[in-house]
Amino acid sequence: MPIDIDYRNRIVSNNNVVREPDAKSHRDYIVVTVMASVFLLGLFAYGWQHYRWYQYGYRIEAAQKKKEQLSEVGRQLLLERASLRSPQRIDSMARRDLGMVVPAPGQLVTLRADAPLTIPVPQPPQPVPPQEASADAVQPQPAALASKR
Amino acid sequence: MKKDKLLAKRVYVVIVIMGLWAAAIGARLYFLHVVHSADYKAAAERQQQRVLEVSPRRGVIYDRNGNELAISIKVDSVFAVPNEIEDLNKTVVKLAALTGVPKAELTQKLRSSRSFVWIKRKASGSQAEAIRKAKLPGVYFQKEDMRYYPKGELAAHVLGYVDIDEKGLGGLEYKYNGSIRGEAGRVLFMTDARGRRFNSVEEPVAPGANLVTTIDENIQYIVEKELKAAVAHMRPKGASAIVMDPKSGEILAMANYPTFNPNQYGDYDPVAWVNRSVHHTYEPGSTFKIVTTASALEEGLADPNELIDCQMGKINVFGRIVRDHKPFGLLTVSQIIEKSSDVGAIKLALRVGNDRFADYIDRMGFGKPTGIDLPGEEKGLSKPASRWHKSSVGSIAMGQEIGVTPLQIVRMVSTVANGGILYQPYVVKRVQHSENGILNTTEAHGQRVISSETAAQLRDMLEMVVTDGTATSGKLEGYTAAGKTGTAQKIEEETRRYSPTKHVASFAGFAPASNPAVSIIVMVDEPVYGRHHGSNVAPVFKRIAENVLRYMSVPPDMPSYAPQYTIKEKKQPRRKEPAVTPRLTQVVAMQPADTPEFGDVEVPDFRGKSLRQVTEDSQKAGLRVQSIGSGAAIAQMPPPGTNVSAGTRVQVRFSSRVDK
Repeated sequence: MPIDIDYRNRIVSNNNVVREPDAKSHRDYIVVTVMASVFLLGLFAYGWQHYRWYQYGYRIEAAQKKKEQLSEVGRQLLLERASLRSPQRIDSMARRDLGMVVPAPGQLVTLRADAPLTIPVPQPPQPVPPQEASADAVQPQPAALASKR
Repeated sequence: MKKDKLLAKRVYVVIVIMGLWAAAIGARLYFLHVVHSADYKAAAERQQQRVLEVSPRRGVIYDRNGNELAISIKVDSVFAVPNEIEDLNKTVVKLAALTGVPKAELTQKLRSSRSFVWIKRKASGSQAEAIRKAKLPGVYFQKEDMRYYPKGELAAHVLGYVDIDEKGLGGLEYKYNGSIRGEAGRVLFMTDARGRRFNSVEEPVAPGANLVTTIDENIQYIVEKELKAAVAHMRPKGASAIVMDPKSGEILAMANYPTFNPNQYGDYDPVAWVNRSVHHTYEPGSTFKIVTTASALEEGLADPNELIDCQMGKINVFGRIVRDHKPFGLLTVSQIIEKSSDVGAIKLALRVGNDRFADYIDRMGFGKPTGIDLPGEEKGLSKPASRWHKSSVGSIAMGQEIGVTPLQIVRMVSTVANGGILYQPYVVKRVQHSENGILNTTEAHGQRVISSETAAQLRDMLEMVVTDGTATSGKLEGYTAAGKTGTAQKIEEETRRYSPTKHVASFAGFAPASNPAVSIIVMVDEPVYGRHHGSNVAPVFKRIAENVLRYMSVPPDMPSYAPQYTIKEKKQPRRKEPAVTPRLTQVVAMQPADTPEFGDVEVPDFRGKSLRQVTEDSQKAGLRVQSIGSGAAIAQMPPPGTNVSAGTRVQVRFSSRVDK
């Protein structure tokens, strides 16, 4: 038998009405959110990567420019060193400023492996014990031949 | 109801407008991305991408010890874009003041319709800085390589020079231009909206190869300095000097007068650019008697001690009367060279005969280029024997009717010095890349043209020229030397006869005579002051040889100049306190030790003995021998009787020449 309800005079409270969970719509919501996040993340990653690419490009170019500049400075220094080492400059400075002269042939000692070994070199001074000291000790000791190699 | 309809109508209008707007955007995008895609892509690339031609860097030229002789560095070149110039007059006035370019020339350039004009290429640092500070609109800078020769005039003729585009025009710069120029590269780079570079792709530049020369900058300096002094004294039209390693053909130095600074070669007379050492052909005069004598000795037609009648200085050679500078009677073959007798030399050549003599001239490298790796080499003037006049044999025997270059003569003298091998002279030791290593190395290339016996005999004869002959002024301090003077009359262009006043004086020799380290030629063309004889040039040889040998640390081979030291002891006061071994207080050079008291082995007297005997005696005594020369021992160092320690090396000089 049908229940006769007077809707007009009855106070209906919906507070306790709970919406029935819609599993499909919830899944769709999550999927859309995830997809949007992935898309945004991808977009962000692409943007960030692009930004970094530009930044690294600037840095690499700047580093290359710096390298070229330093290389050029190096060459300029080489040139300057070569100019400063000019025999003409050194010769004139040695003669004029330092008063140097070319040595006479007999003043030259050739220090070479195949040079004649004829240059006497004195022995290093060695202390003589007092008891062995005598008047003869002041006589020069024979100098040893030294190998100049 | 009516209100709802109005609202709906408005919504439709908005939707239509938005639809049209979206359609317009879509259409625009379609045109941009589809229809005009290629055009806009190209335009974007043009804006964002730049292609820069990178000019190759020219290789460095080094001396044999790695010192830079030529190097390129980047400098600023100034250019303008005429249609970007705002105030033409102001720009012209400023640029003219800063660059030194005439105003008319600048105005013409800046009024042109071209999009690019050079204002000043390779401006100096101060000029570029001043222009940069002026901040002139439409004026820009481009980096370009500029060649510098940091030693100025040093070895100018060997190095050569380059034009403004770095193209070699002379010397090694020209000869090796292909190797040292390198190949251009390209850089493709991208720029942002502000023109900043952020990415680049490179087609790398192939840098030019470096050259390592045989030149020693210090020897070159010595030679140039002495040649300059000689020129200042003699005031000649030209002069040359070459130092060569006789055992390999390496050119250690090559100097000429007049010379130039390759940094500003345009400021000099083009005559100064000529490398006279390889380009100047002259009649050698008496230095050619070496060839004459060599041919006679090699053919066994003469002996150094054989007497030849020099007919009191006069001979008739098929109708041509030749006179000696002094009347000589009987002279040995050695004395013919020593005293430079024309008659004696002619008699030797007549013995050899035209064909064989011509063959020796050819074998000694005359009449053809030496093959040195320098441009502009002359081959000289030499005719085959079939084209000789009857009297030619007489003329050529004393160095006339034949044209040679200084390089050919020093090469011939080197042949005598090294024992008979004719080497091809060369200037570049290595062609190398700093990255890829050595590309090419030059090896000494020689062939025997006379026997070692003939060369030894000639060495002794040429040594006598310096000790007792025409070149005593070329005697070195501390070293033995050998060589030959040459004085040739020049032919007057007007009369086609030998000039009584114009000469070419030369001296070609080597030192030390016992074990030659260098061969040297000094040639002076038309000296104005001083006697016009080769003997006048011998002192130049002497100064060059002495300085070069000292620089090369060649030990003196004259015993009296070998360094010996004595120790002067400071007198000790008689004291009772304990004595110590005396200290060395003074070392006196140049004083032979009278009584060498050091060592335990007495040096035997080797003089007059053969190498075998000397070796046996030294082994018995427990000494080592350094032999120089061949024949019988004539001198030794240390002297006989000196006490030395066992194992000491004794220098013994041998010579095939009997007492002078």
